[in-house]
Amino acid sequence: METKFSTRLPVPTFRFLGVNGTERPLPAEQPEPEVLSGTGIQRLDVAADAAFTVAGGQTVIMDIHAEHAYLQTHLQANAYEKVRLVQIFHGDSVCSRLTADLADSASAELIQIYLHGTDTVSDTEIRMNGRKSAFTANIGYLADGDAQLDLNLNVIQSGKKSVSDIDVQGVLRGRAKKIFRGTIDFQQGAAGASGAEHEDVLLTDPEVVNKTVPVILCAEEDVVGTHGATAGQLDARGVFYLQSRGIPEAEIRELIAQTKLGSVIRKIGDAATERDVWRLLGREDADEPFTEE
Amino acid sequence: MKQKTQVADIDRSLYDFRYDEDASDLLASGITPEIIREISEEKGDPEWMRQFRLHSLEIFAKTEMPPWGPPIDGLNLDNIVAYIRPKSRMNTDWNNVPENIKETFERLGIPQAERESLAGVGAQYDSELVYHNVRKEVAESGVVYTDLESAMHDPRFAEMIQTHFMKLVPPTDHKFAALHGAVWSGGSFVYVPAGVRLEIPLQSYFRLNAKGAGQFEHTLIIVEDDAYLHFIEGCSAPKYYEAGLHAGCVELYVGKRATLRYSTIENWSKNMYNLNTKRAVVAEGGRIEWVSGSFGSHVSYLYPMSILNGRGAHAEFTGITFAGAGQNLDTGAKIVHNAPETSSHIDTKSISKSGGISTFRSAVTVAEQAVGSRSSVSCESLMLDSISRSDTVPVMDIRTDQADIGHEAKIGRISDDAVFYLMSRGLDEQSARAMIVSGFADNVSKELPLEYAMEMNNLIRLEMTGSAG
Repeated sequence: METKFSTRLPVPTFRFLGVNGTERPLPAEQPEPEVLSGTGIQRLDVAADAAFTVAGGQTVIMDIHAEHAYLQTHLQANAYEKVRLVQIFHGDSVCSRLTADLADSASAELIQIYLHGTDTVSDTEIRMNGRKSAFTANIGYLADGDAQLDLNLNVIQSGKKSVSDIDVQGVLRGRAKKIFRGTIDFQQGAAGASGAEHEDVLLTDPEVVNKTVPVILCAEEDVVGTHGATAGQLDARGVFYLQSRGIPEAEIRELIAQTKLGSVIRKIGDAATERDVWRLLGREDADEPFTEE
Repeated sequence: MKQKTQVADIDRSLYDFRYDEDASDLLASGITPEIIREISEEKGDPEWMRQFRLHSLEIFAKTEMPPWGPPIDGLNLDNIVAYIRPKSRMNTDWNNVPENIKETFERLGIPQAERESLAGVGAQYDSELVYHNVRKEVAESGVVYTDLESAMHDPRFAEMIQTHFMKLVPPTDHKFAALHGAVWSGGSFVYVPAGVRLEIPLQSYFRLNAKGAGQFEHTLIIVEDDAYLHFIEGCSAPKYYEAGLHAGCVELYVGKRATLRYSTIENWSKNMYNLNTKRAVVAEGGRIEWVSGSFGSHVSYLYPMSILNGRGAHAEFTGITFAGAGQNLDTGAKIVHNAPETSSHIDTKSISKSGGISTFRSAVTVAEQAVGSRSSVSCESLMLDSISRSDTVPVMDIRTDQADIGHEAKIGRISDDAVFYLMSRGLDEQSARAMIVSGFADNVSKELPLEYAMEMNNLIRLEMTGSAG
């Protein structure tokens, strides 16, 4: 049994940057995986250590508000199956390991939202062995206070014509520290595969620390891989315009942060969950519909 | 059916000639205190430098090999000859250079380049500079361009050397920086006084002829406020079966509002381990511009670093890496934004073919005080077959909310759309593909003086075959 939870960059780099990996202790006893079956939407309340196996054909929404917990999730999508996983993290000291195996023409959609957690480490490995397998990820985070957020996402594409698309939207506030390592790994034989990854981070306070490591590994000629990352401040002209309309600066900052995360929240596709997430973001009017049902 | 574009390996016949060494010129192989003392004795080091070498050796012994990057286990440092006694003293008259060394550099085109397009030339053969010359009018403007050993013994520059030598790249930086501190030999010292703008470049050329040897030249350049310099560095070696080692060190000091352009065409033979360290510190309003072409070596670790310490300082890195059979080239750049309103731009291209491995690796760090800074990184990789590898490993570390940082990368094969477009303009497929691959290297060649751009284009001799299947 594992005693340490560790994440690592698939290809280590300069040590002085401190991005090669991270470790956390694991609980002595870890639960056996619960196999989820059935169709339709399943909502899970994760308040302690847990392990799940999610089969194709399911949509699973996890509300993760545990403290000092270790969550293991495995997605198994066989040929032509689809699986959706929504994970809302808002606990403290949570380690999450997510793995997925995608067979021919299988697809997985992952939505992860990280809100207000103090120390969250998330390690995700997607193995796209199947021809024409597809993976999309929409990840949003709001880290504030003294939060530490460590995200590691490794997408291994060995299937021919496999397609991956990763979009990450984040806001860092206060003294929050974040590392996002996103890797697309095109293996030899993945002819016709494509992969795209983008992270956009808004930095709103002077003491934040933002580390981004967008990696592409490529051992196949016939692929197209792109990655992009932007990190920056609030647009001064936009803020000025809104101020000229009588909106206080603090409110403007909040609005812009919520707008950024809104693009991920709207992907959840479940009105009740979306309302819960908006409430976590402090929207008192969250009962109003933000998404067309 | 797709047909592959054929891109030839670099034609190395120009560089693969050699002369036998006299065994009595070689110090024993390995890195020991006795060898370090012997090198120091041979070179007549001042006491501080002798102590510096021995201290560096201690650090070398204690420092582990880098746990990242390409494997270097084929490099046995016990077999490396760290120093080769020169066959002649440093000359300022080309006629006094020994005949075989003269012929070496003539075949490489160095004297012709000096006559036609350079303000000064330095030529290093194995461990020592054998020729250094600078045009009279350049010398009269106060520019100093000489070998580092001469400068270290010149009362006008001795203190300057001691103040700056391995202060930007301390021996504690990494194992091969420590090795360099212990065994360094040769290299250039350039001093450009305040306000002097040198409109034509200086060039140093480094040739490693001896088998199983190391070259450890040290380049120290100080460009004072409001001055301008373009410095070109070239390097080559004939191919042997024994591993060779290049662990040079480049330290660049760029003054306020000064500009230094540092261009390198690296073409070591494919038995070489190129573990070079380059670093620049830039003062307020200054600019460092790196132009880098990496074509040779068996293994390379090369990441020129720019430390932007002054408000408004700027760094640019433009590079191309061509990794062919048997090559594992790990190249890129590091930028440190340490002051407000600094800016940087990295633009790199890489080509991998015939089993070659190319890795782009970068680090852009923005410190708390670097408010208002901007940085953009662009890297593009071209894979020409599926037995090669191309990786990109960029890192951004941002510690202020008042910065705008962007990164974009693309990896892929020759675009069918681009080929189709060019064919719709009347080119046949073979010519269209050739044009695309040639154009891929354009970011570097357009940044070089014409003569060097032509040399670089000659380095990449492209042969194209194929037709629509």
